[in-house]
Amino acid sequence: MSGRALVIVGLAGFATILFVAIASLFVAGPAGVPLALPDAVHLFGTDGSGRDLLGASLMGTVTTLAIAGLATLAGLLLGGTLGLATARAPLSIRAGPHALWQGVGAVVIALVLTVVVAPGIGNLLIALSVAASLGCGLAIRDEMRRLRRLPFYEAARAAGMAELPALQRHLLPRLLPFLARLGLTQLALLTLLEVTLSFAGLGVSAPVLSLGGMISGAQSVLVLRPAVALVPAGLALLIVLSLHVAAAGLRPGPPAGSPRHAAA
Amino acid sequence: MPVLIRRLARDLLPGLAVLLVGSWLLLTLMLALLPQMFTGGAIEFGGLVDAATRLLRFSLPEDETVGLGARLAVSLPLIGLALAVALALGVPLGLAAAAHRPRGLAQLFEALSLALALLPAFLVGIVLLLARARWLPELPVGGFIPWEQPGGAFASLLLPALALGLPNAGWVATRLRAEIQLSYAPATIEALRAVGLAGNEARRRLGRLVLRRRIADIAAGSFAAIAIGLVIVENVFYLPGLGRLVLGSATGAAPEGLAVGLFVLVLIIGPGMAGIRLMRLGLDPDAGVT
Repeated sequence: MSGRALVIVGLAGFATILFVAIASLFVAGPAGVPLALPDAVHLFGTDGSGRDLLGASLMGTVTTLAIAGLATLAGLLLGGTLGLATARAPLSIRAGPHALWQGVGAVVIALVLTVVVAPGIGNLLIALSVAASLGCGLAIRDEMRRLRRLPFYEAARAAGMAELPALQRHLLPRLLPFLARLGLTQLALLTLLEVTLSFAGLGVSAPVLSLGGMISGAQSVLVLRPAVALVPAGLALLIVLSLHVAAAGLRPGPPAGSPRHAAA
Repeated sequence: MPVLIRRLARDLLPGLAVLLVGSWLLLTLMLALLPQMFTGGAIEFGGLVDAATRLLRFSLPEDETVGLGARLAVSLPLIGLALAVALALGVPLGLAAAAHRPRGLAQLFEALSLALALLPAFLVGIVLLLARARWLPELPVGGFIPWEQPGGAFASLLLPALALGLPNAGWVATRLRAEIQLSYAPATIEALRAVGLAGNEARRRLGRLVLRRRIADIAAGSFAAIAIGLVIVENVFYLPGLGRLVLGSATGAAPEGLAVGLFVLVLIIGPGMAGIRLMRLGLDPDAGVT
């Protein structure tokens, strides 16, 4: 499948989930008995409180995506500024795989904030935004350093072009697809982190619905009604998968002149 | 041995020292400041010294019924078992995903490793609990059987180790595949073909070389991910380990338990990662050269 097709499939999947999730806020289904089996009214049955399982999961999706989206935005803005500012710094910190340290950072910050104040959306937003800023900052710094070493930028500078126009003309157009890819992968990662932290009781808690909180609440009825945990888990995985498919489509192709480029 | 000492001193010790001392100071500050935040009292130098020494003595809150030793007896074998699962599955998967031929099969393995890497460990744990209820009722549903019954202890760690190990196997495979793909530079392949190797054999040899060079670093990252994953997964399986202490202290607003738990986690992760990375000296054929 070509890169463009992957982007279209991934974004269409994500947009569909987002649209249906937002629509579910306005079309609340009728309540039923708790843990009812699927029927014509409740497609996947009901949860422990008698809510329609699919409707409740879609409402939880809105919360999860709102938190992950805000944190991604904060990460791109704060981390991007830091990354661009430090791209020329001589000191180089070898950070290793960013996603790993983002996960560690988010968990530790959420743990500490939970001790200071009770768990809540604010804590979660801070923990995820710091993690996103860390990841975005390091990724943008590394990409800027890579771009600055490319021959056409060096040539433009050697030909006398000032730094800012050279950046605008030669590097910015190449940085934008990278930022789009980074935003998509960060949104996927932060969605997973939100689900994980809310599941652990460090984030969104009842009565606010979130995917992680719903999975956590379903643990006591897991064997009796697995769908109560699996429907919100499946939605979270679908979101992550569609975002990664779209991001995979934005990956740069093989360098010109390589055998893979010739084959393509 | 001199090479080992030089490398230890140059590459690992400074970072390790910064991590250990830095986390000790930060956790000391947290431990000393948090009670003051609740009571509104002034921060005194004596309070800081007391917090620092409490951390170094690993003193848990008085109402904590399970000691640190008993918790480590759960968590350390769990980390080891999960790392073994991650490497035993991840390395063959990564090598297969990086293979050039047959391309379709390699893409299938690549998709499988990516799918595994995207799964959160707690979700794998929930699916494993469901599978246990249906197909493996002889395995314990949760909790820990003490090491006096080694078979029972192993059985109670098996599902949590799989929950932690499977996503990390995906992570190991994707990283290994990426590293191997980077080594497939056309010039290198051409040079190997010029000395009489077929294309696939050239790629296999390059893959093996990259594996020996990079596996220690990849395993060290996986070790850290598994150790921090304990915090969530031990709570899914009700294991009385270090992760349960950390999360229980956070949700129970017990800063002392959280600080000690996090400090012990850092003490496991830092030296553990350094030790695993040192294994490169025995694996990498060029490790003794520089």
